[in-house]
Amino acid sequence: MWSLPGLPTEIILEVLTHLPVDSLLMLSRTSHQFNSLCLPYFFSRHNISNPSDVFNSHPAQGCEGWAASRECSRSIRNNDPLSGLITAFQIKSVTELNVEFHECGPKGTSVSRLEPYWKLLRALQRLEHVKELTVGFDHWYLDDQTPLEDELTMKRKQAITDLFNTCLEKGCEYFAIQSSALFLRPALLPKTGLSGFLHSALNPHLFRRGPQRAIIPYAPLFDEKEVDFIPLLDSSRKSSKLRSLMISAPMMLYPPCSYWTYSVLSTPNLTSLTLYQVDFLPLYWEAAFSWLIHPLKNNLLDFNISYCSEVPVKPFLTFLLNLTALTHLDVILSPVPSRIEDYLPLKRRHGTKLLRNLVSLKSYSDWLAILCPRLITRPQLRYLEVMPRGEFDFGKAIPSLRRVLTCPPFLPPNRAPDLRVTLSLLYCTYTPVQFKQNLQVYSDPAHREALGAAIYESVTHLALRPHVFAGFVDTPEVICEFLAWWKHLECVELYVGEVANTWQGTFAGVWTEGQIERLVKEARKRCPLMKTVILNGKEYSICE
Amino acid sequence: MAAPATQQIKIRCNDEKEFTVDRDVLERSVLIKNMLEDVTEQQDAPIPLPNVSGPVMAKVLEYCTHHRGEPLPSADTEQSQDETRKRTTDISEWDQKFITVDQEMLFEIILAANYLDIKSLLDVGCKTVANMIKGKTPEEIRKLFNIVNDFTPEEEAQIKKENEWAEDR
Repeated sequence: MWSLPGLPTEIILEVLTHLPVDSLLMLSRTSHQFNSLCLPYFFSRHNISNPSDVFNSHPAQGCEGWAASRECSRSIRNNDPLSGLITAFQIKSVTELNVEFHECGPKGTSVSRLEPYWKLLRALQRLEHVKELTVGFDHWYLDDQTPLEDELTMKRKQAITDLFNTCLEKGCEYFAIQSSALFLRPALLPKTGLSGFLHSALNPHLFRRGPQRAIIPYAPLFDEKEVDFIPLLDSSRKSSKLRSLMISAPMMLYPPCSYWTYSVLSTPNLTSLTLYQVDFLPLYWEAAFSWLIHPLKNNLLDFNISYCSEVPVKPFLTFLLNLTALTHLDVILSPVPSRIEDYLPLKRRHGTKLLRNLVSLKSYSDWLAILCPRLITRPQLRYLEVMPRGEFDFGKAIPSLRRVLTCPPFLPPNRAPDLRVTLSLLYCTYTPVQFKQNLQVYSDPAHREALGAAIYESVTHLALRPHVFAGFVDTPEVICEFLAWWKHLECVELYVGEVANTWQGTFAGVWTEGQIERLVKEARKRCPLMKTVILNGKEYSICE
Repeated sequence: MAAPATQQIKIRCNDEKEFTVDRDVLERSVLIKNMLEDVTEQQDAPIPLPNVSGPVMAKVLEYCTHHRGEPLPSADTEQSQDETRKRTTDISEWDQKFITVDQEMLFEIILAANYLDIKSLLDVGCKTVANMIKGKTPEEIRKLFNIVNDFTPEEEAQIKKENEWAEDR
């Protein structure tokens, strides 16, 4: 029986060259085989190289109203804003446009709230003549009681950033968001140098009209050391100055894999890449890694991946080992904390957990044993951090941790002294239940002994900066238990407390002054060499 | 020049079926053309074609006979034509009629064209398959070509999400 999948791959690929994008998309959804065959075509032929392609099959309709208008200041009701917008953007005489999206509906409902942003973002791809764009959003359902880190707000923030970015890309000289909504609270904007600018740019009071126009120079934005939003994918021309990119895309509507992959590909001088809470299925991870390795392998200095969904180990390792220029590697192997996972729309949509452990601890120890010795011998490497964290059985994990830590030859004797390797062995507590479980593990003398020994071995065996041990831990009691193992250290660097807010990647210190004092006191007593304890970034002197 | 045009070549298919064909017809196949150029002296033994069956070869020969005398695409022009060739699924009327066969024969012809290295026929076959795919939903494509859906629901959801960017619904 003949079937298409039975044909040789070369012939299938030949067939694919004759297919338009929409058919490729359909075919890619039939099976794994065709998905992997179609992906490259999808990437190279779909909107990535020519964003306007996306809209070709959707001729704008129903917008006679604006065609003649010179100063087009009309509301597009959200029944079909996309085609209307596209038309508006194509009309030469329309140089000024005011778009209003009226969102109505019960508070707190879903992702569809973002649709206006999304549609606008797509429509902006066709922006040609409009130089002044004002967008009004009507978020009446968002009030001051809405939590700051509300899921929707995060997405909206991202969406606005993208809109802003795209407008600038497209040569729009004036872009304003008009809204009373809470995303304009300073606290919600990204905490980078850029954000200050972005904030003022998005502030309706500052940015209604007039002189503010001048403060949208595009290129200088990218002179910031870090930019934590995603430049639009066809921005290669503009983003050649971009060096550092953080893909922070929790639970989002966009960008999908192909989008951010091309964001990276379109920033030719990228030296730093952070993937944070990025959620793809293994097949897309694999595609992404294979696509990214070529442009990144000789350039990328700093790579950070944390709280992402499960990555396929082999492509991931291959990717990491091919990054020849790497000086900083930071890998956090952890699922998104369950508390945050509850927010995820994915969970609701699929009725199942999509975010999982990056890798299981067992394979973690295996691949660490492969990775570390190879990376660590590279003279340019300055920083390596690999952390297993999550909901694994800590008692059972100890043997494999020891195995990782003692895998020879972990560190060559003549390794550059400035290398900082952090192997954090303790993990955070996300819920009271886990916290109790942890305590049980710690309070079991056998476990404590083994864990303490593992840490001790790691510190002595690694012989890195032998005066520092950095870790994430739960309670003062636990730390004090471990002090005994740190007798030979001059400094411990600890991140303590519960994870109060992992969106920011920050650890709120929930220790009281009394607890900190107790630790300092204990350290003084038990660790004669200890000079400093760093708690959540704050230094405490041990010397009296 | 007349001599090679009338020269008769024997070929034998994998089911022992033999054909005696004009040399210029057979030379539509780059594979056979190269074989014939390698052989200097006249041989009576038929050229074995172990990958092609009689009925399929008959179809292929029908195509080659119709298109005899047309210039073969050279390696140079192929590059520049590549872009225009791609995405167009126009097939000439005769070819269209010729390729209106059942799916099994279609795939056999494609495989034979690939093996015999007949670029234009391979093109016709691939375009035909592409035309069959066009405008169909994933489910329809699966049904048409016996493709087994091996995605998990999660994967399907993510792929759909990926595709939303181009689909615009």
